[in-house]
Amino acid sequence: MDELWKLGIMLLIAVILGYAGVVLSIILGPKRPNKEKLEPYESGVRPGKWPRGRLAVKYFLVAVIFLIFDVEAILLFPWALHVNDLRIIAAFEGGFFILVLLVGYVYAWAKGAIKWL
Amino acid sequence: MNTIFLLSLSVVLFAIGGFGAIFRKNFLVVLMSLELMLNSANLALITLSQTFGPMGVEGQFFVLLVLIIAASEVSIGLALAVNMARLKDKVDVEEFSKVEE
Amino acid sequence: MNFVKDIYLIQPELVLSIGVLVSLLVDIVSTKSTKFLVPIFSLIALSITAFFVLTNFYNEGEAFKMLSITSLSRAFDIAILLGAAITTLLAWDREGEHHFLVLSATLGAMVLVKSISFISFILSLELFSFAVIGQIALSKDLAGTGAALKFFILSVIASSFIILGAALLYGIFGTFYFPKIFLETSFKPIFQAKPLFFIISFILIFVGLAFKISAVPFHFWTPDVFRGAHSSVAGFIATVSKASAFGFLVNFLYIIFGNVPYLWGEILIWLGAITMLVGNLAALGENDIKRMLGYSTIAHAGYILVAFGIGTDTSIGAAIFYLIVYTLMTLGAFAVVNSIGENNSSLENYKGLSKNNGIQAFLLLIFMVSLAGIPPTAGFVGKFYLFSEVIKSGEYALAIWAFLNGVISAFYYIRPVFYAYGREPKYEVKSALNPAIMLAFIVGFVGILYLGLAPSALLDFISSAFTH
Repeated sequence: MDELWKLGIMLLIAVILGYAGVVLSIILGPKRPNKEKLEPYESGVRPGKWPRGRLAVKYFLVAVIFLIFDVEAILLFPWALHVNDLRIIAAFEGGFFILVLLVGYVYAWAKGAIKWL
Repeated sequence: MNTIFLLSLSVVLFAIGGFGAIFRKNFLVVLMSLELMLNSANLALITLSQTFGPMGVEGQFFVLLVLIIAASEVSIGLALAVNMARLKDKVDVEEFSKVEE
Repeated sequence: MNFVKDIYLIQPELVLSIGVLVSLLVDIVSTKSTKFLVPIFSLIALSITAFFVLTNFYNEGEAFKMLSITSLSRAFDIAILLGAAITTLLAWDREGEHHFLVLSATLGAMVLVKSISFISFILSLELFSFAVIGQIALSKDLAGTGAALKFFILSVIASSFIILGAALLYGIFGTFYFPKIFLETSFKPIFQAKPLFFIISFILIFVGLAFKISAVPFHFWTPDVFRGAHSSVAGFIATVSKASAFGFLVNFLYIIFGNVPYLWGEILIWLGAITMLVGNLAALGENDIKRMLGYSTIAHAGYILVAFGIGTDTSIGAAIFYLIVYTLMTLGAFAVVNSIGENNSSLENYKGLSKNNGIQAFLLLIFMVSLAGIPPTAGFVGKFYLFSEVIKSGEYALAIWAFLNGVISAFYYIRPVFYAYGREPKYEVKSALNPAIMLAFIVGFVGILYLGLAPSALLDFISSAFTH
């Protein structure tokens, strides 16, 4: 029971981080509204078109990248369970894992896979 | 009893996936079938790891690895599908399996 | 400390994995005019890894309960790294990603050879096959995509067979760790405990592995994939994939199922005998050199399977020697195909090759003679040691069978050479000779002649892996 406050702190940080992004972008971001921006958001597609039309191949690319990075994060779960037992080794292994993902991300970025338009 | 039932289910799913992967023509359906095969193996793993109680952690970890393998497999498959769509405008496996002379 | 000791054991793999990561960064940095940086970096990474493999050749042990590092597995590493380096030379002009994928697949192959747990086994297998699919799919034309599709579907089916088999074995023994499974099976008779499970899981895993080494009932994908893929990728599948799968097979069969070696030997010998016949007969009728080489790799897989089936130390040593020789000569043949042109792989284009492309015709002669096993090339020496091991084990019928197969294979190996020297040219073939391919030619040529005339150095080195 005594340990629950740690969970509380984690939840608090999660909530703060989640809202910080939204609030800060409202406060700091430049505001140049135009017609397209004010339309309802449909994942970037113009609403009102026939839904069986073709989608740009960009969506596939982003979907694939999302799929990879999203699922790879599962591997951090068993790692997180054993961080306390492994100590410095855990830091090494987790660091290497993140490094591999990071190199993949840098590659996708540099090749323009994430760049829109 | 429950274990046997779940194992039979996973074998049946595996067989369905295998038939789908070999006999279906649409590549997206083939991808789904391949996914079914991998995940039925996962079901077997989970079921069997249950029988070892707390010692079965290794099996559950393996399930996570198979999930990751399945995800990478799907992303490679989708990339191939994009390539197919660019070349032939459809994702029909038959179109590509012919050996041209 | 245990962790440090384990890290020390897997130095070559660590070096290579860092090389894989850096090669991606090099690919980002290099522009169109400095594209050659990536293959150069790739060669450097491979040679540093080879250096670490050689300096740690006699360091044995077990790392992380996942890998068992033995001198035997390091010998397989040498074959793998040699194959990867020559394919890098063949693919000099391809995209930078190709070299990254070659390095990743090499890492997968090196880990696969040493894995003694289903976890490392399946992960490295997937790393290897996904990287190879990427390599095939990089040629984005119809043939390349078709080949990638076929390889993709079959390799995923094969690996799901293996995963299901691993799951069932886990259900019996409660572990993925091979030595523990071996301990359990050696104390109680395996067919008593849960016979159905055991047999089914064995069949599933073996079917999956047979796909990977293209042993006979599951070999149909090989010629089609070879035809569609770039010749460097076809060479990679033919050599590195074989070396890693055989290395694993030795580990797996003689560790897990080590208590029933006689049964194993019989199965492998029968499989190998049928595989070599099917490969050789199918290759006789081929008019496309890439497809022909595809069938020829099936036949060679048969010879190596037979040597593993006999299962003595010397026969496995002879098989490793043959694997290295086979890597050299197959990749040499693919280098000729590469320099004649990817789309000119029909044998019609090889008619009268000696008139316009003398160098390629001569090298084709050397490599084909070596593949057929005619002296003074290394192919002869390799086959000689292999067959003498078969005779030593007392399987005379098998030796005659293998010899007859060698005779059959000579027909289709000599045909392109005969076309190149004996016929008038039918088409004008524009060949490409860049320095990288020249280097691949030189490595193959010198290697084959050297190993053909003075094989004892390499043989002693390989046998030192057993006896040191």
